[in-house]
Amino acid sequence: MRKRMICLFILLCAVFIFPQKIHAEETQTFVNTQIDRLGLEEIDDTANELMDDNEFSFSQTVKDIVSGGWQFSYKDCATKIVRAVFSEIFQQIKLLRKIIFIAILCGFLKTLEDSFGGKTASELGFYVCYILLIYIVMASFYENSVLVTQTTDKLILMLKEMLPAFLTLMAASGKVVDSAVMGPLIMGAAMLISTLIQSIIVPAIGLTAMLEIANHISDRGLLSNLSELMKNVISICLKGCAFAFIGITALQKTGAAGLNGMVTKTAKVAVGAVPVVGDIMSGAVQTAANLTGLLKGSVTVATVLLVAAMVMLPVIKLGVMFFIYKLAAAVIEPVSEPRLIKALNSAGDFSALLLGSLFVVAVMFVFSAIILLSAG
Amino acid sequence: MIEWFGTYIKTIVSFLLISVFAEIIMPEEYKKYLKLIMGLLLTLAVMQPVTYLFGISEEQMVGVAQRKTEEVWGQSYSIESDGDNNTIALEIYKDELNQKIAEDSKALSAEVVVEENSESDGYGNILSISIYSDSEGDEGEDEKTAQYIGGKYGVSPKDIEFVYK
Repeated sequence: MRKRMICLFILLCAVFIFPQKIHAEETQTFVNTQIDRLGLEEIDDTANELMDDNEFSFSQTVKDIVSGGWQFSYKDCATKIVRAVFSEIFQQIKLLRKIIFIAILCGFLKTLEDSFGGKTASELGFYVCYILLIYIVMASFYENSVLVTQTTDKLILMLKEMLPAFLTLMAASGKVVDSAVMGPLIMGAAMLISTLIQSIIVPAIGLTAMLEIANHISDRGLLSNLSELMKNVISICLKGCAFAFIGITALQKTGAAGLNGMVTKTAKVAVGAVPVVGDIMSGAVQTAANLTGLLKGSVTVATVLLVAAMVMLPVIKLGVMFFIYKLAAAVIEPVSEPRLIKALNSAGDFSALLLGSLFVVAVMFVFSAIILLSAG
Repeated sequence: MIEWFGTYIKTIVSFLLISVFAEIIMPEEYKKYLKLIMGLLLTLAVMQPVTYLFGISEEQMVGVAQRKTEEVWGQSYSIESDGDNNTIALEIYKDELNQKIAEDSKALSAEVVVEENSESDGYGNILSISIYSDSEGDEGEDEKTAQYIGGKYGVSPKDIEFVYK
């Protein structure tokens, strides 16, 4: 009896003399640790290398969105975009002035030489003006092609950086099998599409532009249908690429749905089999998975913003070029040769094709983010 | 692949530019002929991938084109089934053919086997050709020559054989 009392006394002393505090972790700090574990700072670094302006921080945006303190002012955004558009227009106005000047000069030359020199001389005058015009148009077109190639490179680099973070989120929120399957698939498809666009589609657009502009030199326009055919083939290729990528990615997701549940359930049961604390542990695992699910939405939103920021400047540039060519064609129409106008119109069409190919890559990026990180 | 496409487009564009500038230089009466010929050349250039897909080689097309032009401009052989003079005419015909084929294929000599039945429809058609040459040529050269001669004389290339002395 005495021994038992002494043991109880020593036990009570041990319990009350050396207390340790334990408590459950708060939601906010838990989420922050998860975000830090994802390694979003590296994405920040890459994004700042690739983009010029340093105002956008990926990890900060994600944290803001999760904590609910993120403000997105539409007015701010709209002002920024409008300002960018106008500054671009002011830069390209020089191009517009050159084109209009050459076209008016050509009109004058033609009238003069028709009256004085005969038909051959006026044709030669027209050809000289046409060659000048083509030179200006082709130079700016080449710059735009290079811009599209570079932006595609940047976007694919960003995708490579962000894919591990996406896959980690996916696996942590319960879709283990999906993430194992989707990782190589998305990377492979993205590389394929990027190579296709950079080394086949953008040069093909340049060559077809050359064909169409050479076609407009002569009155009869001998190769109009051939260049029309090539334009159609290129745009069908672009649409086919985007459709194939989206189709394959979306279909692949549904294939592994059943396996996900199985793996997660197995893991939970295995954890719950631990003798004393099994229940609490499996409950905690479930809570962790759900909380990580919270992160997915905010990461999706941050990704869309990042892609929009990266792609905005080239898109504005290409859109302004398209607008300027079409405006030049419209303004010159009364005073100049129909052939010049057709050439400018087709230059505008090809700028639109370049814009389309850039859009395909950006849409592909955003779509992979959405598919990987969709809730449930 | 994109290099092939680039070459293709540049070929077409050069033909187009040549035709445009030739149209300026030509005097008035010949403009329409020039337009026709340039149009044909352009069609040939545009059709190049299509002919490649269908297995028609360029040498064969050049041979066919040459034969057709010679028919139009006049070097055609007309043979009448006259009775007595028939065999002599046939011999002269075969001799001329041998000479021409030897010239065209840059060989020592050639021998043709011709349809000699004067009643049949294909009287005078060439059935097979044997080309005798001195030096051992390589396979590629032989094939090209066979296709050219085949296109020009209306013979299928497998009926042409090369004999080396």
